[in-house]
Parts: sequence; C-alpha cells; structure tokens
Amino acid sequence: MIQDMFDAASLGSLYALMALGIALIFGVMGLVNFAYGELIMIGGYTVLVAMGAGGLGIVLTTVLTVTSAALLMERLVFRPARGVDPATLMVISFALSIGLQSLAIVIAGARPKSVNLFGSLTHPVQVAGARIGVLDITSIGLAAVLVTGLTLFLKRTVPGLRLRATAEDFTMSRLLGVRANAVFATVFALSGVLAAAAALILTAQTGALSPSMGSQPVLVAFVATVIGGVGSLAGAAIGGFLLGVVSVLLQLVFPVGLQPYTEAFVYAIVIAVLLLRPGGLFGSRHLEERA
Amino acid sequence: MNVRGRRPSTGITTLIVLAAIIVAWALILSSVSAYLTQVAITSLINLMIVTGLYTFTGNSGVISFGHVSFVAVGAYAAAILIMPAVSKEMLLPGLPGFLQDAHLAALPATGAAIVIACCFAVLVGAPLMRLSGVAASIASFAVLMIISVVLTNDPALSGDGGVLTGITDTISVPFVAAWAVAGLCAAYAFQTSRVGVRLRASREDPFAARGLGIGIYSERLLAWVISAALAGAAGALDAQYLGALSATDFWLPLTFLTLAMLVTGGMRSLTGAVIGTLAVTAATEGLNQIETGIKIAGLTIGGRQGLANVALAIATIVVLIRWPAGLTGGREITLPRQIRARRSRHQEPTRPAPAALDPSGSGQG
Repeated sequence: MIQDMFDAASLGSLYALMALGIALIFGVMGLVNFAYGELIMIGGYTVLVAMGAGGLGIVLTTVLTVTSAALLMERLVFRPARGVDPATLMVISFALSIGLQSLAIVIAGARPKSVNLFGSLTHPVQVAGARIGVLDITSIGLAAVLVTGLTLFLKRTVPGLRLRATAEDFTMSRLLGVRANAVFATVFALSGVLAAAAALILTAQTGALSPSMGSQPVLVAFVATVIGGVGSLAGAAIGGFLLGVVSVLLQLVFPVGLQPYTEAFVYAIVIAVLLLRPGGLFGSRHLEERA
Repeated sequence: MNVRGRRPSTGITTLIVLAAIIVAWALILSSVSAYLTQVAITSLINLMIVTGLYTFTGNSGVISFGHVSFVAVGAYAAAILIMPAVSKEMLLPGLPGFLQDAHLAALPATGAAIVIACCFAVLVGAPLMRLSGVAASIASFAVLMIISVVLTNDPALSGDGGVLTGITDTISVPFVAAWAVAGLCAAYAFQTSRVGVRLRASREDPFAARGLGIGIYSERLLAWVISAALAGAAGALDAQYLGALSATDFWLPLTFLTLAMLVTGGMRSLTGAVIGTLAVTAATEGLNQIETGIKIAGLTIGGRQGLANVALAIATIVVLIRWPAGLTGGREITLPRQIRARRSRHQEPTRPAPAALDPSGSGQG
C-alpha cells in the first residue's frame, strides 16, 4: 500500500516537474511549447552519449546540453515568431516537436535503446515496513527541491521578479525597463533545467530511450498545466502531481480487463475538469480569454 | 481593425475556381503515373479532412486537435459496413448480429459512416462547445486520445490491436474527387450562411458577438458537426482506399499533417485549406523524389521518412514565421476580372483628401 503511494508520488513528481517547465513558458510568454518533450528526449539521449562520465558528469552534461538546446530553441524559432497569434505559435511549436522527433529518428533510429542510469538506486529500502526504491525517493526529493528552488527564485530574487512582471503585463514591464529578450531567455533556460531533471528521472525510471519518449509524458504534463490553471505555476505543479497519482491509482484499482483504458479514463477526467472549471482548478473562474 | 483583404469573398466564383483547381489536380496527377494516382487520392482525402478542420477551426477560431478522431470513427464505421461477413467473423467476433451481416456498397457505406461520425460529434460536441480557447483545444485533444486508446484496445470495435484487414472495395479518383468537391461545397455553403457569418463574427470578438445576441454555442456545435461529417467521409474513403486499417493511422502524425496543411495555407479561408493541402502535398512529394536520388550510407527506411518530416517541419515553421496568416493570408481566391472591378469600385471613396485640409500631414488611405 505504502509502496503504491510512493509509486504514485514518484510519477506525480515527474509530471509536476514537466508541468512546471511547460507552465513557466506558457505563463510568461503565452506560448504552448509542444517541443518541450523533445528537450526531455535530448536529455535522454545525452545520457546515453555521456554514459562513461560517471554520475555527476552525466548530470552536468545533461543539464548543460538540454539548457543549451532550450536557449537555441528560443533564439532560432520563437524569437523570430514573437508577436504571432497564439494559435499559429502552437502549430509552430508542434512542427518543431515533430521535426526534432524525426531528426532523432534519422540520427538514432526509431527503435528504443536501453540505458542503465543510476542502476544502484533501484535497490529497495525499508521505510515504515514497506520496500521502496531509492530511485522513487530520489525522484520525489529532487522534484521537491527544484520546485522549492524555483519558487524561491521567482519570489525572492530580482530576475524572478522581472519574470513575474513580464508574465503579468508584458508591455508595462517593458516600459518599466525589463528587457524582454533576457526574460525570455531566462524562462527557457529555467525550463531547460527542469526538462533535464525530468529527463534524468525518466531515463533512470524506465531505462529506455526512444525518439518519442518525451512526447508521451509531456502530453499529460501539458494537460496538467491547463487543468491546474492558466497562469498558475503552483496549479500546474499540483495538477501534474494529481494526474500522476490518479494515473497510478487507476491502474491499481481497475480490473485487469479494463487496464488499457486507464489512459482514456484520465483524459475523460481531464475533459470533465475542463467543463466544470474552464480556467483550471486553480485559475480564476472569471478569467476568460479575450481574443 | 483592418478588415481589408480579410472579408471572405461571398461570390460563388471562389467555389468554382477551387473546384476547378481540385479537378485539374486530380486529372493531371492521375494521368501521369500510377504512383501519382495514389498521391492524388491520398491528397484528396487529406483535403477533405483539412476542409473539415477548416469548417470548424477557421470559422470559430478554436484550434481542434481532435478531428482525426472523426476520421477514425468514419473509417472504422465504413470498414465494418463494407467488410464481407466472413472477414468480420474472423476479425471482429464481438460485433452485434446486425452489424455482422451488414454488407453495403461504397456509397451507402460512406453515407452511413458520415451519419455515425455526426452522431459521435454531437455526443462529444454538446459538452465541449461550451469551452473556449486553449481549454477547448485541450479537450479536443483529449477526445483524440480517448478514441485512439479505445480503438487500439477494444477488439469488438476494431479488431485485435485496432488492425482490420480485408476491407474490400476499389476506389477511383473520380469518386474521391467528387466527394472532395462536395465537401468544398458544404464548407462554402456553411461559411456563407447566416450561421457561418455569425460564427465568424464571434471568432473576431466573442464578447462583442455576445453583445449582439449571438449565442456562440449552437453556431459552434453546427460547425463542429459539419466538420465531423467531412472528416468522417474522408475516413470512410480512406478505409476504402487502404483496404486495411490500423488504429495508429489515425493519431498524431495525421493530426500534425492536416493542421500544418491548414495553417500554412491560411486558417481563415477555404482557399487556404485547398492551397495548403496541395502545397504541402507537392512539397512532400518533391522531397521524396529528391531523397530517392541521394544515396546516404546507413539510412534506413525509417530515416528516409524522418528526413521528409524534418524538412516539412522546417518548411512549416519558416512559412508560418514569414506569413503568420498562412500563404493566403485569410483571403479567398477570386478571378482577376473581379479583382480589378472591386479595386476600381473601392478606390473612389478612399482617395486621400488634399494635403491642404490635413495639417497634421498624416492622411489616410
């Protein structure tokens, strides 16, 4: 029972991290970054390439590579596209996502590769009478640290303040001297760090790499962002966490015959939440999009 | 708000020109080679999907990621109705009796598939049309995922793993072209109808539209159902063309392809849907042709497909950054004669006033 709870919390933490990365970009730039999953994929494949570098080396390499990829994304694709309407931006990021996935297929092949990352961490550990993987605990801990760090950054530092100002009122903050380019680069860099962490956790947990490894969980994470509430970072993290927990719990609760349908049920729940609270669970109910 | 160039042509010339383009496209391609005939059929089916997508997304401004689910519903419905009873016994043992015995010809099967897709659309759209903006897009995406999961996992509906084979029927270019033109007519009829115009008004400014008494819900629902009919028809044709179905055919790659076709062509006009489809098809085929001429060591079949996708993605991004409103910019195609006539009608009233009367020197027009 406790083991199941930790499983749920572990998946929830992963989704929360990803949802945060997406919500950051969405909140500050109004951009739905479908290519976020590809950042995770890049992180995964970087792990494969950096396997010989030892634990810390792998982590550092991954973080650097993914963050650079994120910054490149911003500079090459999204900065020229600034000012384009949200719908077209969505399609641009969708195209970027598919393009990067296809590029990975060309370079690395479509078949999944297996990778043993932090294998020593899969040892179970006795906690309160149940055997829980150290990896699970690490995932949850890492997610908690990153979320706290991000919150502190946003609330207590000046760059964080500029970020929040830009998210709230872009034009006004520029008039007040906030440099948009720096803010957007910061946002992408931050989401890159979160993506790297998610990539490490995901690779360690599943041990498999494939070109589409990022797109699957990111869909869920993106949905979590909308459920959690447009513009609310805490909501996104909580939404991601809840979705992860609900996914695992449904898997456990469902009779065996219905197991493949858990994903469908999760999405049905998503629709239900959106119908009841279009602004998301934590967004303002009175906030409607003005065209 | 600058309306010049955004008002859709209400003249029927647009429809005629577009239909002519499609017929010409079909005729030319099918007379060159068997391969290009396949390309013609596939592109016309895609065109129907894109037209359906346009009918909803272009008119309402809400991006739908879920229309491929209607394509899937239409495809499997048509497949079940067309497949001979023998195949059905083998592949779909869980079907109820009357479906087991049903065996329709192409036309009635396609018609029935459309009706089924519409029923599904009403079922799904009734709750969904209350949503707006990003929430609606996400919800439509959730619908796609649900349908995909169901089709992959329900043996009674879609066979083991969503794979159905032996859907026997032949399909011809004229048949598909006729359906494509019919789809265009339906889309055109909707966008020039009162309901369509009201919906477009709500697209520009939902709050103002509500102030004018336009309840967006029913207009959107009608657009949703019509677009589902078009997508469902496309699915039915697809089932007849492919002869075998797999649930993975109707998922993200097709969603991306049709969305890219619509948005690069221009989301806000019927011309955009047509031009986008034809342009992307031409570009993709061009890329495929180039690839066959290049030998690159170590490239597997998957790699070849991957390169084409990479190029398509890059092209989409570049086009959208340069022309965010798509290649047509939301305009409809018209005959040159009409354009000249319209320009001369418009230039008289907007000729700028003499500078002497306008001290600020700004001048309009």
